[in-house]
Amino acid sequence: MTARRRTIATLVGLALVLVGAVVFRLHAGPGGLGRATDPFIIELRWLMVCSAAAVGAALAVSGALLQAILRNPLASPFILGLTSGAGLGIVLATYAGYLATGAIVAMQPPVWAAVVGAFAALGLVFVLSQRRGLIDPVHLVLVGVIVSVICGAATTFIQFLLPDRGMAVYTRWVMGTISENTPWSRVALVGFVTIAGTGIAVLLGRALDSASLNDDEAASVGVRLGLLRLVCFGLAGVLTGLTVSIAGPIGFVGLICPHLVRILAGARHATLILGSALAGAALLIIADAGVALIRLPAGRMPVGVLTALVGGPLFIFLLRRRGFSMNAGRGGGA
Amino acid sequence: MSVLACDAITTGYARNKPVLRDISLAFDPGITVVIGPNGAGKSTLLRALLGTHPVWSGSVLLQGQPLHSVPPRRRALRMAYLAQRSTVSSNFSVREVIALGQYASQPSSRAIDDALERIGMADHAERPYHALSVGQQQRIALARVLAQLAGKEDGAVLLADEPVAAMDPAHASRCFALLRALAERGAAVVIVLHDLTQAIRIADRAAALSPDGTLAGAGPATELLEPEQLREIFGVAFDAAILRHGPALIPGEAVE
Repeated sequence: MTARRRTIATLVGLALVLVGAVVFRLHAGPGGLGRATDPFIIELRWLMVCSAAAVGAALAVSGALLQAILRNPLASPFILGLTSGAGLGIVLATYAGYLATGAIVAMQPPVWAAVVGAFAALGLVFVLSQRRGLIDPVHLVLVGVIVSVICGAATTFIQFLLPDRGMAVYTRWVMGTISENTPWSRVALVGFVTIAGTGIAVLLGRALDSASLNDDEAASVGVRLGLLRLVCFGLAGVLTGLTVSIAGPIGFVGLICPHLVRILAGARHATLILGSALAGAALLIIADAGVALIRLPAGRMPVGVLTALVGGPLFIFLLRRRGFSMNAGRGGGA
Repeated sequence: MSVLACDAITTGYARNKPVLRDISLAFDPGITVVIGPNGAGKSTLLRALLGTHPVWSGSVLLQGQPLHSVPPRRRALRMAYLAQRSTVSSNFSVREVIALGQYASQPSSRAIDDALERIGMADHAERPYHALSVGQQQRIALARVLAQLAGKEDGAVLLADEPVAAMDPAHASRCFALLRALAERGAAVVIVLHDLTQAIRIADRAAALSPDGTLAGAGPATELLEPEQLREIFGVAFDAAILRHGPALIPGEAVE
């Protein structure tokens, strides 16, 4: 199959999977699979579908951008601490609001705080993982994990300072949930920014391809690496911050989807980013349908738990198989 | 006006510890080799000429224009770079890697096919790049710069840092023939080389850097690459000989 046919087949296939995921989610409820007749339930399920699609696509595109620009297959918003940073940003803003007004606006965490938190974490990881101006891939992941842990601990500490009401709400939110309480306006905002961000990222596809060369060679073929990094980090920060503001930190979608698309369609970034958006949307809709079908005495399981249970082992698999290399088959000696 | 020139450039990595000091060179169509002992700043010089390593003082001129004022994409149409160890982080096919060189221009399958043909790897086009040996990857890097400069050779610049370090003698010879062909089409080819026999056989001109980062000499290759000069630069006695296939410079013992 030629590269062009492979690309088209992958994108069409992923689009069909996404349509199937939407249909599946619209039929999934606590009572099992079945068509809803109550207009309120139907609207609620559509809200969950749109929310999960926007969050999944945004995380996957963010992961694909980070993997490309950092030349690191293990990079993702979750591993590099962006999601934890965004979470900390939200909790800090909420706590500041609580100190100022004595009230908690827990159901509508501020978007700007999430974006600022994601940027702060990414900036910290980027600066701390540099050695003599070069980013060491092992360092990058280690620093990302440490920043993520510190942000997580700080989030828990601030939650601890909040009165019980805030604690109860945030505990569930911090695990990553596609919430039925998110207003349509915010889902629309995240959806619009995700579509725009994906479009910009696709347009950067050729530049990202050439940025696969080392810094000097990429610059020699005409890539403005500094500007490209700035735009990619900006997009990854905004997309991750927005997803965290409506769904909390959901792990591994940003890691898994680009790898899946790379296996199916190859490494060209325009296809990789578009395919990742489709795969991310489909994956999170399916995961949300899964948790909707699982009946637990304590209520609905946060979708972040499911993605972590599936994604964690996969991360270890990638770590062992690829040995910190973006290259699937570095065999040398032909 | 030279195709590429540097005027009194000084640069380095740590402040107050310059690697290159007050280097002035002009590069015209033909092959210029840059020689010097380890740590003399040869690779740094290439990166400064490319514009990816900032100079502390002095200037680099590309066809008379300050390099920093030439937009990156326009610069890429006139100047290409071959790193000592080319790396590609994505899992591309050989064809896709060569196409990366055409980022600044209209992608041309014909130029890619032609480059593959010239390096003798036409039948490897669809193979994964990372499945190749290091020497083969070095040939693909050469094909990438050939595709980058295709049709624009006259007045172009190629900066190559040890371009045949991982190649066997047959492919190294073929590579030098391609670089010579590029020079004959009007390109200024600047090559950092450690093998002085290879250097004297392919170079029109040479520039030598001293261990302290100053310019030890520059001029016609046959004048600079001779035992007395090389002894000063490297601190090693050299024997010069004319062998069946050309001149040879054979290093002897270190001298005090």
